Amino acid sequence: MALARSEIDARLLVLYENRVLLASHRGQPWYFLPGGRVRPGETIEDALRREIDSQADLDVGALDFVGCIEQAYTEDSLAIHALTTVFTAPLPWAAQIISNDPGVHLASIAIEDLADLELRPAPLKDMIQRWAAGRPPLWRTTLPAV
Amino acid sequence: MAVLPAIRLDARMVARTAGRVLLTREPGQLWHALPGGPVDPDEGTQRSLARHLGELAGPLTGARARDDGQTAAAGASPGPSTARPPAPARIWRFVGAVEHTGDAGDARDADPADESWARGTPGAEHVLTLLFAADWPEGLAVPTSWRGRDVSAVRTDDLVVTRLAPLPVAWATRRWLAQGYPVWRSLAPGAARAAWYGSQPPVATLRGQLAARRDQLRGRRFRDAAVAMCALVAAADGRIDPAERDGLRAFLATDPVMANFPAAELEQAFDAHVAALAADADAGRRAILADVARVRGRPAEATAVLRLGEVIGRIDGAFPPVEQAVLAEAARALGLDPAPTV
Repeated sequence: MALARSEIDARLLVLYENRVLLASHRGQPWYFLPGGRVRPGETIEDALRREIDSQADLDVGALDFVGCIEQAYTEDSLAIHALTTVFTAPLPWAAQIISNDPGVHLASIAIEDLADLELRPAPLKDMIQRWAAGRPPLWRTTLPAV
Repeated sequence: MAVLPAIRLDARMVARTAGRVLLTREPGQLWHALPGGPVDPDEGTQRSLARHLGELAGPLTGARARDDGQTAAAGASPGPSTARPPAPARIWRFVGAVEHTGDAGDARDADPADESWARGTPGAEHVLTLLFAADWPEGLAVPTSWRGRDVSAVRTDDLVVTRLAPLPVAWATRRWLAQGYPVWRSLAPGAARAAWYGSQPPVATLRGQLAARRDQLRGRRFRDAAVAMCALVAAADGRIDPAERDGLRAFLATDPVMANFPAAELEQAFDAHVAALAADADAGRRAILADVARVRGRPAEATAVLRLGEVIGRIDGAFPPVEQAVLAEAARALGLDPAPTV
Protein backbone atom coordinates (compact mmCIF):
# COMPACT_ATOMS: atom_id res chain seq x y z
CA MET A 1 0.00 0.00 0.00
CA ALA A 2 1.24 3.44 -0.82
CA LEU A 3 1.74 5.44 2.34
CA ALA A 4 1.02 9.13 2.30
CA ARG A 5 3.66 11.51 3.54
CA SER A 6 3.98 15.25 3.87
CA GLU A 7 6.60 17.30 2.05
CA ILE A 8 7.28 20.95 2.77
CA ASP A 9 8.92 23.23 0.27
CA ALA A 10 9.84 26.90 0.37
CA ARG A 11 9.52 29.26 -2.62
CA LEU A 12 10.61 32.80 -3.31
CA LEU A 13 8.45 35.42 -4.97
CA VAL A 14 10.46 38.31 -6.39
CA LEU A 15 8.40 41.24 -7.65
CA TYR A 16 9.86 44.33 -9.24
CA GLU A 17 8.37 47.01 -11.44
CA ASN A 18 5.18 45.00 -11.87
CA ARG A 19 7.07 41.94 -13.01
CA VAL A 20 7.57 38.59 -11.36
CA LEU A 21 10.57 36.25 -11.47
CA LEU A 22 9.46 32.78 -12.60
CA ALA A 23 11.40 29.58 -13.20
CA SER A 24 10.71 26.85 -15.74
CA HIS A 25 12.32 23.59 -16.71
CA ARG A 26 13.75 23.86 -20.20
CA GLY A 27 11.34 22.29 -22.65
CA GLN A 28 8.39 22.40 -20.23
CA PRO A 29 5.50 24.82 -20.74
CA TRP A 30 4.75 25.49 -17.06
CA TYR A 31 6.34 27.86 -14.57
CA PHE A 32 7.11 27.72 -10.87
CA LEU A 33 8.76 29.86 -8.23
CA PRO A 34 12.44 29.28 -7.46
CA GLY A 35 13.04 27.34 -4.24
CA GLY A 36 12.81 23.75 -3.15
CA ARG A 37 12.25 21.12 -0.53
CA VAL A 38 13.00 21.60 3.16
CA ARG A 39 15.50 19.01 4.38
CA PRO A 40 15.69 17.43 7.81
CA GLY A 41 17.41 19.64 10.34
CA GLU A 42 17.02 22.96 8.56
CA THR A 43 14.46 25.66 9.07
CA ILE A 44 12.09 26.64 6.28
CA GLU A 45 13.86 29.96 5.73
CA ASP A 46 17.27 28.25 5.75
CA ALA A 47 16.02 25.87 3.05
CA LEU A 48 14.80 28.77 0.93
CA ARG A 49 18.12 30.60 1.16
CA ARG A 50 20.07 27.43 0.37
CA GLU A 51 17.94 26.66 -2.67
CA ILE A 52 18.00 30.23 -3.97
CA ASP A 53 21.75 30.33 -3.44
CA SER A 54 22.21 27.24 -5.59
CA GLN A 55 19.71 28.20 -8.30
CA ALA A 56 20.38 31.86 -8.88
CA ASP A 57 22.94 34.47 -7.95
CA LEU A 58 20.51 36.30 -5.73
CA ASP A 59 21.49 37.49 -2.29
CA VAL A 60 18.17 37.41 -0.47
CA GLY A 61 17.64 39.69 2.52
CA ALA A 62 14.66 39.85 4.85
CA LEU A 63 11.73 37.66 3.89
CA ASP A 64 8.02 38.47 3.98
CA PHE A 65 5.38 35.76 4.24
CA VAL A 66 3.06 35.48 1.20
CA GLY A 67 1.11 32.37 2.14
CA CYS A 68 0.81 28.60 1.99
CA ILE A 69 -0.47 26.28 -0.75
CA GLU A 70 -1.50 22.74 0.09
CA GLN A 71 -1.89 20.08 -2.59
CA ALA A 72 -1.75 16.32 -3.05
CA TYR A 73 -0.15 14.41 -5.88
CA THR A 74 1.23 10.97 -6.66
CA GLU A 75 4.90 10.31 -7.27
CA ASP A 76 6.09 6.77 -8.08
CA SER A 77 2.70 5.46 -6.87
CA LEU A 78 3.34 7.16 -3.53
CA ALA A 79 0.74 9.67 -2.36
CA ILE A 80 2.44 12.94 -1.44
CA HIS A 81 0.84 15.64 0.65
CA ALA A 82 2.70 18.82 -0.17
CA LEU A 83 2.76 22.16 1.60
CA THR A 84 4.37 25.03 -0.28
CA THR A 85 5.38 28.02 1.81
CA VAL A 86 5.81 31.20 -0.23
CA PHE A 87 7.94 34.17 0.81
CA THR A 88 8.90 37.37 -0.90
CA ALA A 89 12.03 39.49 -0.83
CA PRO A 90 12.94 42.66 -2.67
CA LEU A 91 15.23 42.22 -5.65
CA PRO A 92 18.74 43.11 -4.51
CA TRP A 93 20.22 46.20 -6.08
CA ALA A 94 21.98 45.46 -9.39
CA ALA A 95 21.02 41.78 -9.19
CA GLN A 96 21.77 39.65 -12.21
CA ILE A 97 19.01 37.23 -13.05
CA ILE A 98 21.06 34.23 -14.05
CA SER A 99 20.18 30.62 -13.47
CA ASN A 100 22.97 28.49 -12.04
CA ASP A 101 21.14 25.35 -13.06
CA PRO A 102 21.40 24.61 -16.81
CA GLY A 103 18.08 22.74 -16.66
CA VAL A 104 16.21 25.68 -15.18
CA HIS A 105 15.34 28.84 -17.06
CA LEU A 106 14.59 32.05 -15.14
CA ALA A 107 12.31 34.61 -16.73
CA SER A 108 10.90 37.97 -15.77
CA ILE A 109 7.17 38.03 -16.57
CA ALA A 110 4.79 40.99 -16.43
CA ILE A 111 2.02 40.48 -13.86
CA GLU A 112 -0.66 41.11 -16.49
CA ASP A 113 0.78 38.31 -18.65
CA LEU A 114 0.41 35.74 -15.83
CA ALA A 115 -3.18 35.01 -16.87
CA ASP A 116 -2.03 33.17 -20.01
CA LEU A 117 0.58 31.01 -18.27
CA GLU A 118 0.40 27.70 -16.48
CA LEU A 119 1.81 27.92 -12.98
CA ARG A 120 2.46 25.04 -10.59
CA PRO A 121 1.02 24.64 -8.07
CA ALA A 122 -2.08 26.05 -9.77
CA PRO A 123 -3.23 28.36 -6.92
CA LEU A 124 0.09 30.20 -7.20
CA LYS A 125 -1.20 32.43 -10.00
CA ASP A 126 -4.03 33.83 -7.91
CA MET A 127 -1.73 34.15 -4.90
CA ILE A 128 0.83 36.20 -6.86
CA GLN A 129 -1.83 38.43 -8.42
CA ARG A 130 -3.45 39.11 -5.05
CA TRP A 131 -0.12 39.74 -3.35
CA ALA A 132 0.89 42.14 -6.13
CA ALA A 133 -2.44 43.93 -5.56
CA GLY A 134 -1.53 44.46 -1.90
CA ARG A 135 -3.64 41.71 -0.31
CA PRO A 136 -2.63 39.90 2.90
CA PRO A 137 -0.99 36.45 3.04
CA LEU A 138 -3.24 33.60 1.91
CA TRP A 139 -4.00 29.97 2.55
CA ARG A 140 -4.91 27.94 -0.53
CA THR A 141 -5.64 24.24 -0.78
CA THR A 142 -6.56 21.96 -3.65
CA LEU A 143 -7.69 19.24 -1.23
CA PRO A 144 -11.34 18.64 -0.44
CA ALA A 145 -12.19 20.52 2.71
CA VAL A 146 -14.78 18.12 4.11
CA MET B 1 7.44 1.74 6.65
CA ALA B 2 6.26 5.28 7.04
CA VAL B 3 8.65 7.95 5.82
CA LEU B 4 9.44 10.40 8.59
CA PRO B 5 8.96 14.00 7.55
CA ALA B 6 11.60 16.54 8.46
CA ILE B 7 8.90 18.79 9.83
CA ARG B 8 5.66 17.59 11.38
CA LEU B 9 2.56 19.51 10.35
CA ASP B 10 0.02 20.49 12.96
CA ALA B 11 -3.24 22.41 12.64
CA ARG B 12 -4.89 24.45 15.40
CA MET B 13 -8.03 26.53 15.67
CA VAL B 14 -8.42 30.00 17.15
CA ALA B 15 -12.11 29.80 18.04
CA ARG B 16 -13.49 33.22 18.97
CA THR B 17 -16.69 33.97 20.77
CA ALA B 18 -17.80 37.34 22.14
CA GLY B 19 -14.33 38.75 22.80
CA ARG B 20 -13.00 35.43 24.06
CA VAL B 21 -10.92 32.58 22.67
CA LEU B 22 -11.52 28.88 23.40
CA LEU B 23 -8.52 27.24 25.04
CA THR B 24 -8.13 23.69 26.30
CA ARG B 25 -6.01 22.13 29.00
CA GLU B 26 -5.58 18.86 30.81
CA PRO B 27 -7.52 18.87 34.07
CA GLY B 28 -5.19 20.11 36.81
CA GLN B 29 -2.57 21.42 34.39
CA LEU B 30 -1.48 25.05 34.19
CA TRP B 31 -0.77 25.33 30.50
CA HIS B 32 -3.43 25.74 27.83
CA ALA B 33 -3.29 24.77 24.18
CA LEU B 34 -5.43 25.66 21.19
CA PRO B 35 -7.71 22.82 20.06
CA GLY B 36 -6.42 20.84 17.09
CA GLY B 37 -3.74 18.26 16.37
CA PRO B 38 -1.38 16.67 13.85
CA VAL B 39 -2.14 16.84 10.13
CA ASP B 40 -2.74 13.43 8.56
CA PRO B 41 -1.17 13.52 5.07
CA ASP B 42 -4.07 11.47 3.69
CA GLU B 43 -6.66 13.96 4.91
CA GLY B 44 -4.90 17.24 4.45
CA THR B 45 -4.85 20.16 6.85
CA GLN B 46 -8.46 21.23 7.09
CA ARG B 47 -10.06 17.79 7.23
CA SER B 48 -7.53 16.77 9.88
CA LEU B 49 -8.33 19.87 11.89
CA ALA B 50 -12.08 19.28 11.55
CA ARG B 51 -11.61 15.70 12.78
CA HIS B 52 -9.51 16.82 15.75
CA LEU B 53 -12.06 19.47 16.66
CA GLY B 54 -14.73 16.77 16.92
CA GLU B 55 -17.76 18.20 18.67
CA LEU B 56 -16.30 21.70 18.37
CA ALA B 57 -16.16 21.44 14.57
CA GLY B 58 -19.89 21.70 13.83
CA PRO B 59 -20.55 25.14 15.27
CA LEU B 60 -17.24 26.45 13.94
CA THR B 61 -17.90 25.30 10.40
CA GLY B 62 -21.55 26.28 10.44
CA ALA B 63 -20.82 29.93 11.05
CA ARG B 64 -21.45 32.36 8.24
CA ALA B 65 -18.68 33.13 5.84
CA ARG B 66 -17.10 36.53 6.10
CA ASP B 67 -16.45 38.11 2.78
CA ASP B 68 -13.16 39.71 3.68
CA GLY B 69 -11.00 38.14 1.04
CA GLN B 70 -9.17 36.08 3.62
CA THR B 71 -11.40 33.05 3.40
CA ALA B 72 -9.54 30.05 2.15
CA ALA B 73 -11.45 28.98 -0.93
CA ALA B 74 -10.58 25.61 -2.38
CA GLY B 75 -8.50 26.63 -5.34
CA ALA B 76 -9.01 23.71 -7.68
CA SER B 77 -12.53 22.52 -7.04
CA PRO B 78 -14.88 24.75 -8.96
CA GLY B 79 -17.42 21.93 -9.13
CA PRO B 80 -21.13 22.24 -8.38
CA SER B 81 -21.16 23.17 -4.72
CA THR B 82 -24.18 25.41 -4.40
CA ALA B 83 -26.39 22.88 -2.63
CA ARG B 84 -23.76 21.78 -0.11
CA PRO B 85 -23.32 23.26 3.35
CA PRO B 86 -20.45 25.70 3.53
CA ALA B 87 -17.16 23.81 3.70
CA PRO B 88 -14.65 24.73 6.42
CA ALA B 89 -12.30 25.88 3.68
CA ARG B 90 -14.71 28.65 2.79
CA ILE B 91 -15.16 30.11 6.22
CA TRP B 92 -12.04 29.44 8.23
CA ARG B 93 -9.72 32.37 8.22
CA PHE B 94 -6.01 31.87 7.86
CA VAL B 95 -4.21 33.06 10.98
CA GLY B 96 -0.73 32.06 9.90
CA ALA B 97 2.05 29.51 10.14
CA VAL B 98 4.40 29.02 13.08
CA GLU B 99 7.57 26.99 12.96
CA HIS B 100 8.61 25.76 16.39
CA THR B 101 10.07 22.90 18.37
CA GLY B 102 8.27 20.49 20.63
CA ASP B 103 5.03 18.65 20.51
CA ALA B 104 2.66 21.39 19.42
CA GLY B 105 0.68 22.16 22.45
CA ASP B 106 0.72 19.36 24.95
CA ALA B 107 3.03 20.90 27.49
CA ARG B 108 3.23 18.80 30.62
CA ASP B 109 5.73 19.51 33.35
CA ALA B 110 7.12 22.19 31.09
CA ASP B 111 9.56 24.64 32.56
CA PRO B 112 9.13 28.06 30.99
CA ALA B 113 12.60 29.00 32.21
CA ASP B 114 14.08 26.39 29.91
CA GLU B 115 15.84 27.96 26.96
CA SER B 116 14.13 25.70 24.45
CA TRP B 117 10.78 26.86 25.78
CA ALA B 118 10.94 30.09 23.83
CA ARG B 119 11.08 28.09 20.60
CA GLY B 120 8.15 25.87 21.46
CA THR B 121 7.42 23.19 23.95
CA PRO B 122 10.53 21.24 24.85
CA GLY B 123 10.72 18.21 22.65
CA ALA B 124 12.53 16.48 19.86
CA GLU B 125 10.15 17.51 17.11
CA HIS B 126 10.37 20.24 14.52
CA VAL B 127 6.79 21.37 13.97
CA LEU B 128 5.01 23.69 11.57
CA THR B 129 1.67 24.70 13.08
CA LEU B 130 -0.95 26.03 10.67
CA LEU B 131 -3.42 28.29 12.44
CA PHE B 132 -6.98 29.01 11.41
CA ALA B 133 -9.72 31.02 13.03
CA ALA B 134 -13.49 30.71 13.13
CA ASP B 135 -16.28 32.23 15.19
CA TRP B 136 -18.21 30.20 17.72
CA PRO B 137 -21.88 31.17 17.27
CA GLU B 138 -23.01 33.63 19.92
CA GLY B 139 -25.67 32.25 22.21
CA LEU B 140 -24.54 28.65 21.75
CA ALA B 141 -23.13 27.09 24.90
CA VAL B 142 -19.46 26.18 24.76
CA PRO B 143 -18.80 22.52 25.72
CA THR B 144 -16.97 22.17 29.03
CA SER B 145 -14.66 19.47 27.76
CA TRP B 146 -12.92 18.44 24.57
CA ARG B 147 -11.08 15.12 24.28
CA GLY B 148 -10.82 14.81 28.04
CA ARG B 149 -9.44 18.32 28.35
CA ASP B 150 -11.16 21.23 30.06
CA VAL B 151 -12.36 23.95 27.71
CA SER B 152 -12.33 27.55 28.84
CA ALA B 153 -13.22 30.78 27.09
CA VAL B 154 -10.44 33.22 27.92
CA ARG B 155 -10.91 36.93 27.34
CA THR B 156 -8.78 38.12 24.43
CA ASP B 157 -7.42 40.91 26.63
CA ASP B 158 -6.27 38.32 29.17
CA LEU B 159 -4.39 36.18 26.64
CA VAL B 160 -1.15 38.02 27.28
CA VAL B 161 -1.18 36.73 30.88
CA THR B 162 -2.60 33.28 30.03
CA ARG B 163 -0.30 30.29 29.92
CA LEU B 164 -0.75 29.16 26.33
CA ALA B 165 1.71 26.71 24.80
CA PRO B 166 3.72 26.56 22.67
CA LEU B 167 4.79 30.17 23.21
CA PRO B 168 5.46 30.88 19.50
CA VAL B 169 1.89 29.78 18.73
CA ALA B 170 0.59 31.95 21.57
CA TRP B 171 2.57 34.91 20.20
CA ALA B 172 1.17 34.41 16.69
CA THR B 173 -2.38 34.04 18.03
CA ARG B 174 -2.18 37.26 20.04
CA ARG B 175 -0.66 39.13 17.14
CA TRP B 176 -3.34 37.98 14.74
CA LEU B 177 -6.10 38.86 17.21
CA ALA B 178 -4.61 42.34 17.56
CA GLN B 179 -3.84 43.04 13.91
CA GLY B 180 -5.94 40.63 11.86
CA TYR B 181 -3.03 40.07 9.48
CA PRO B 182 -1.78 36.51 8.81
CA VAL B 183 1.42 35.82 10.71
CA TRP B 184 4.61 33.97 9.86
CA ARG B 185 6.99 33.04 12.63
CA SER B 186 10.18 31.18 11.86
CA LEU B 187 12.36 29.07 14.07
CA ALA B 188 15.73 30.48 15.06
CA PRO B 189 18.48 29.04 12.84
CA GLY B 190 20.12 26.13 14.60
CA ALA B 191 17.01 25.35 16.60
CA ALA B 192 15.76 23.06 13.85
CA ARG B 193 18.94 21.07 14.04
CA ALA B 194 18.67 21.01 17.81
CA ALA B 195 15.11 19.74 17.51
CA TRP B 196 16.19 17.05 15.09
CA TYR B 197 19.12 15.84 17.15
CA GLY B 198 17.96 16.71 20.63
CA SER B 199 20.05 18.98 22.74
CA GLN B 200 23.22 18.76 20.60
CA PRO B 201 25.54 17.39 23.25
CA PRO B 202 29.24 17.88 22.56
CA VAL B 203 31.00 15.12 20.63
CA ALA B 204 32.99 14.21 23.76
CA THR B 205 29.71 13.57 25.61
CA LEU B 206 28.39 11.40 22.80
CA ARG B 207 31.57 9.36 22.78
CA GLY B 208 31.42 9.07 26.55
CA GLN B 209 27.84 7.79 26.38
CA LEU B 210 28.84 5.23 23.79
CA ALA B 211 31.91 4.19 25.77
CA ALA B 212 29.76 3.61 28.86
CA ARG B 213 27.87 0.98 26.92
CA ARG B 214 30.78 -0.66 25.21
CA ASP B 215 30.24 -3.95 27.03
CA GLN B 216 26.86 -4.28 25.33
CA LEU B 217 28.37 -3.43 21.97
CA ARG B 218 30.60 -6.38 21.22
CA GLY B 219 28.61 -8.47 18.73
CA ARG B 220 29.41 -9.05 15.06
CA ARG B 221 26.13 -7.48 13.98
CA PHE B 222 26.99 -4.29 15.81
CA ARG B 223 30.48 -4.31 14.33
CA ASP B 224 29.13 -4.66 10.79
CA ALA B 225 26.47 -2.01 11.31
CA ALA B 226 28.94 0.39 12.92
CA VAL B 227 31.50 0.08 10.12
CA ALA B 228 28.74 0.51 7.54
CA MET B 229 27.62 3.64 9.36
CA CYS B 230 31.17 5.03 9.22
CA ALA B 231 31.26 4.46 5.47
CA LEU B 232 27.79 5.94 4.99
CA VAL B 233 28.57 9.21 6.78
CA ALA B 234 32.05 9.49 5.28
CA ALA B 235 30.63 9.06 1.78
CA ALA B 236 27.65 11.35 2.43
CA ASP B 237 28.97 14.07 0.16
CA GLY B 238 29.42 11.58 -2.67
CA ARG B 239 33.11 10.85 -2.23
CA ILE B 240 35.70 9.75 0.32
CA ASP B 241 39.00 11.53 0.02
CA PRO B 242 42.28 10.13 1.40
CA ALA B 243 42.34 12.53 4.36
CA GLU B 244 38.83 11.48 5.35
CA ARG B 245 39.85 7.85 5.07
CA ASP B 246 42.93 8.30 7.25
CA GLY B 247 40.84 10.23 9.77
CA LEU B 248 38.33 7.40 9.96
CA ARG B 249 41.10 4.83 10.34
CA ALA B 250 42.41 6.81 13.29
CA PHE B 251 38.89 7.07 14.68
CA LEU B 252 38.30 3.32 14.41
CA ALA B 253 41.62 2.61 16.12
CA THR B 254 41.12 4.97 19.06
CA ASP B 255 37.37 5.01 19.70
CA PRO B 256 36.65 3.20 22.96
CA VAL B 257 33.73 1.28 21.45
CA MET B 258 35.32 0.42 18.14
CA ALA B 259 38.52 -0.63 19.94
CA ASN B 260 36.50 -3.68 21.02
CA PHE B 261 37.19 -5.09 17.57
CA PRO B 262 40.49 -5.94 15.88
CA ALA B 263 41.53 -2.88 13.86
CA ALA B 264 42.45 -4.94 10.80
CA GLU B 265 38.93 -6.42 10.64
CA LEU B 266 37.36 -2.97 10.80
CA GLU B 267 39.61 -1.50 8.15
CA GLN B 268 39.02 -4.41 5.85
CA ALA B 269 35.25 -4.07 6.18
CA PHE B 270 35.43 -0.30 5.74
CA ASP B 271 37.62 -0.58 2.66
CA ALA B 272 35.21 -3.14 1.18
CA HIS B 273 32.35 -0.66 1.53
CA VAL B 274 34.41 2.11 -0.05
CA ALA B 275 35.37 -0.15 -2.95
CA ALA B 276 31.73 -1.17 -3.45
CA LEU B 277 30.70 2.50 -3.47
CA ALA B 278 33.39 3.33 -5.99
CA ALA B 279 32.31 0.44 -8.26
CA ASP B 280 28.58 1.18 -8.14
CA ALA B 281 27.40 4.01 -5.92
CA ASP B 282 23.77 2.89 -5.71
CA ALA B 283 24.45 -0.80 -5.14
CA GLY B 284 27.20 0.07 -2.64
CA ARG B 285 24.85 2.32 -0.77
CA ARG B 286 22.16 -0.36 -0.64
CA ALA B 287 24.68 -2.87 0.72
CA ILE B 288 25.76 -0.37 3.37
CA LEU B 289 22.20 0.33 4.47
CA ALA B 290 21.54 -3.41 4.60
CA ASP B 291 24.51 -3.79 6.95
CA VAL B 292 23.31 -0.88 9.07
CA ALA B 293 19.91 -2.56 9.26
CA ARG B 294 21.48 -5.68 10.79
CA VAL B 295 20.88 -4.21 14.26
CA ARG B 296 17.31 -3.22 13.48
CA GLY B 297 15.03 -4.36 16.29
CA ARG B 298 17.86 -4.17 18.85
CA PRO B 299 17.26 -0.73 20.34
CA ALA B 300 20.49 -0.36 22.35
CA GLU B 301 22.69 -1.32 19.42
CA ALA B 302 20.65 0.56 16.83
CA THR B 303 20.76 3.74 18.92
CA ALA B 304 24.49 3.31 19.44
CA VAL B 305 25.05 2.96 15.69
CA LEU B 306 23.14 6.19 15.06
CA ARG B 307 25.08 8.00 17.78
CA LEU B 308 28.29 6.73 16.26
CA GLY B 309 27.23 8.18 12.93
CA GLU B 310 26.57 11.51 14.62
CA VAL B 311 30.00 11.44 16.30
CA ILE B 312 31.67 10.83 12.94
CA GLY B 313 29.54 13.46 11.27
CA ARG B 314 30.38 16.11 13.85
CA ILE B 315 33.94 15.18 14.72
CA ASP B 316 35.34 17.62 12.18
CA GLY B 317 33.23 20.43 13.60
CA ALA B 318 30.85 20.72 10.65
CA PHE B 319 27.68 18.73 10.29
CA PRO B 320 26.34 19.60 6.86
CA PRO B 321 22.78 18.75 5.77
CA VAL B 322 23.97 15.91 3.50
CA GLU B 323 25.44 14.14 6.52
CA GLN B 324 22.31 14.83 8.53
CA ALA B 325 20.27 13.39 5.68
CA VAL B 326 22.21 10.10 5.59
CA LEU B 327 21.76 9.80 9.34
CA ALA B 328 18.03 10.23 8.88
CA GLU B 329 18.16 7.59 6.15
CA ALA B 330 20.07 5.23 8.47
CA ALA B 331 17.53 5.91 11.22
CA ARG B 332 14.77 4.83 8.86
CA ALA B 333 16.70 1.69 7.90
CA LEU B 334 16.94 0.98 11.62
CA GLY B 335 13.25 1.63 12.16
CA LEU B 336 14.12 4.37 14.66
CA ASP B 337 12.96 7.88 15.21
CA PRO B 338 15.82 10.08 13.93
CA ALA B 339 16.14 11.72 17.34
CA PRO B 340 16.74 8.74 19.62
CA THR B 341 17.20 9.24 23.31
CA VAL B 342 20.22 7.60 24.86
